[in-house]
Amino acid sequence: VIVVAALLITAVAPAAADPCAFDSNSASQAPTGHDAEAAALYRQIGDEEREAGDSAAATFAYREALRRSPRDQRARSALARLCVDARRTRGANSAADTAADSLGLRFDEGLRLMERGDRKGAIAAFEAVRSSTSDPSAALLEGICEYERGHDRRARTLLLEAKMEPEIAGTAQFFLGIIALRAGDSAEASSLLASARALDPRLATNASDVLRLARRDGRLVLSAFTEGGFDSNVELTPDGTITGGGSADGYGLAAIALFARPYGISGPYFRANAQYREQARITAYNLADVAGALGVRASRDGGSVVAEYAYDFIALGQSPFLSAHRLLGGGRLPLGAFSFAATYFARFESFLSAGISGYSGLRHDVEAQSDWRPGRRSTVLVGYHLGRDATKDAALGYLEHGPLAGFRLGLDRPIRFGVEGRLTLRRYGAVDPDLGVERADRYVDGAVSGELDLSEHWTVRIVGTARRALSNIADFQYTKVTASVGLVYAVGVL
Amino acid sequence: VKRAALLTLLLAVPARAQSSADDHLLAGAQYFHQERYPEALVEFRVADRMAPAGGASWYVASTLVKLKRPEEAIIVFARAEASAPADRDALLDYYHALACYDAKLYGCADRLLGGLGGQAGPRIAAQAQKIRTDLALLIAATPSTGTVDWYHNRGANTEKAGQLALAVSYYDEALRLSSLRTDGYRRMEASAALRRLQPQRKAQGATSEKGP
Repeated sequence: VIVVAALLITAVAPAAADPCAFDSNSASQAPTGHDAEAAALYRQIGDEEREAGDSAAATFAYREALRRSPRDQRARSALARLCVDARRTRGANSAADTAADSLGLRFDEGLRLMERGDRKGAIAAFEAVRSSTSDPSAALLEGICEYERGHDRRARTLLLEAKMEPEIAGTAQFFLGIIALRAGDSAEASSLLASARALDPRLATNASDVLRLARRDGRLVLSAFTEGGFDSNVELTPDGTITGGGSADGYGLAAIALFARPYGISGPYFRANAQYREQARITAYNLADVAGALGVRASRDGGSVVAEYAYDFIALGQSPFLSAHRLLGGGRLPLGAFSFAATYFARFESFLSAGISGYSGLRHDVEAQSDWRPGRRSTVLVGYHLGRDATKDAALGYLEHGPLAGFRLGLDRPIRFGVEGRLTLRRYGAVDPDLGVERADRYVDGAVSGELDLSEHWTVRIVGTARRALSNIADFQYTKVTASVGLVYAVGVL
Repeated sequence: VKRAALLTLLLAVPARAQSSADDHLLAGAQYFHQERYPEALVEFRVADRMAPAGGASWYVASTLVKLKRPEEAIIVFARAEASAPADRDALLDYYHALACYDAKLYGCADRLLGGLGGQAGPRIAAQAQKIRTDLALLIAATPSTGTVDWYHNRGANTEKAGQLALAVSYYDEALRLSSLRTDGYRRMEASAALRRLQPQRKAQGATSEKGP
């Protein structure tokens, strides 16, 4: 039976898809018999398949009907109609083929340029395609390029156009969600990302990752943090100078924070936070910190400028330690895979204990940083830092500067790693009256961190830091190592 | 998957009792094996018409999955469950799950894939596990109101078109999604639609539903 069926299949196979083939070859297609009932059944199925839009199945069914009943005029007519339709479609396709080929080449060129990282060139190619025909795929890819260049408004227009095509609606919604998140509209971002995830399961993991961020962000964000850790060298002065013999201690820390930006990512914002750190042994270094800030941020197409006033009050060992006012200005400019940022602040510091009041004064700090994203989940950063501490006691003031570099990596699962290092060269402004020399220090700092998102709101954080302080005064050389494990809870309330 | 489907189909065919329908079933299986799905569909449908309770509707539905016509496949799978429940097996459930997946009925897809167990063979079991892993995040996530609305719209449209099995599937998914939301958005509405449709579907009879 299988052999017979196979032979039958071979006999009909070459003409199966072409509705015109039966007419031209009818003489050679000898009917296998006369079975009007079976022919009617095939014809009926042919009619249903034609109505369902499957012309290949309809063609096969009509042809099978005619094989069983060559005089079945209804099947013959239906097959002829399919033939005419097919020829008409082929004719229309042929006329459009040349133009389509040209557009196809431009589309392929856009893809190649996009893969090479030439977003501007890719945009020009996709734009050329879209100027000739409505092409949601070109709109999608052009939108993604514009998003990557930081042109969020233009990207949004293109992605909304692409969203109209069901096959790519999920991807378009995904990028619209990211843009909404970048604009600080976490509610809109959550809705778009959830829709993207529902429309296209292939986006599920990525959409969930970003959705997690969206649900921790918003116009009003509450967060809490608790940490336990170890510090090999607790007793340092405000400028980081060693005071004891390297007293090591463990500690526990709890912090809460509130962040509000009622008008979204652009506009005024307010931040308040408080923390308490209790040392296991060296209770004189128990620390309580209350801080608040008012600022305003202007953002557009991924870039931003910010101005902020902040106040910070710290008590150490149950005694007032520091009262500081800070003015800060900064900005960030994205350029393709790169991003450039700079901040400056002036901090008016008043140390409240008699023994360290000489450290009071005005501290200036400026830092420039460039980020490069070679891949979707990795970031390389380099920067340079310059600081000047104009203290009341001139011997405690200094000028420092030095480079910094770092690398951040996000894995497929909600795990992130970071490593950062910096070198600081510091020269004090006056001869130390006690030591009779002008002090010069070098600090080599390193930090590694790992974060694991346990859920949409909870994250475990592990941090390790190390410092090697070198000085032209041997007594000021030391090593400091810290390690901590913390748990963060963050929720976007609005 | 392709080889397993072929083997199952070819092995299943000789066991049939009705000779004429069996010929078409066998021809359909051969076409299916050769990945000539339009031809396979026609032959399976002829077999189905000749012997409506002969189980060919399972193969019609599986071929519709191959032809990327998932909603029609779901309708035919529902008909097959009613007309030839004894012919159901793990491989056909796998195709049914793919139809649900393609129609964005993720709860249905996960339920069917989860029920395959070890009967499906190692390759299909591995494939099913991979799909279930992809689905895990999807089916546990809290849906947006827009997502719930989309399923209600599909339910209403298919109900209007007389495709009650499909409408039930969409409302069923809408109900599942509403249950994931703390506000139970449109949950009562989905329950009411299912209460309304289930008796209608039974009264209408599995064979008369609009579809392939």
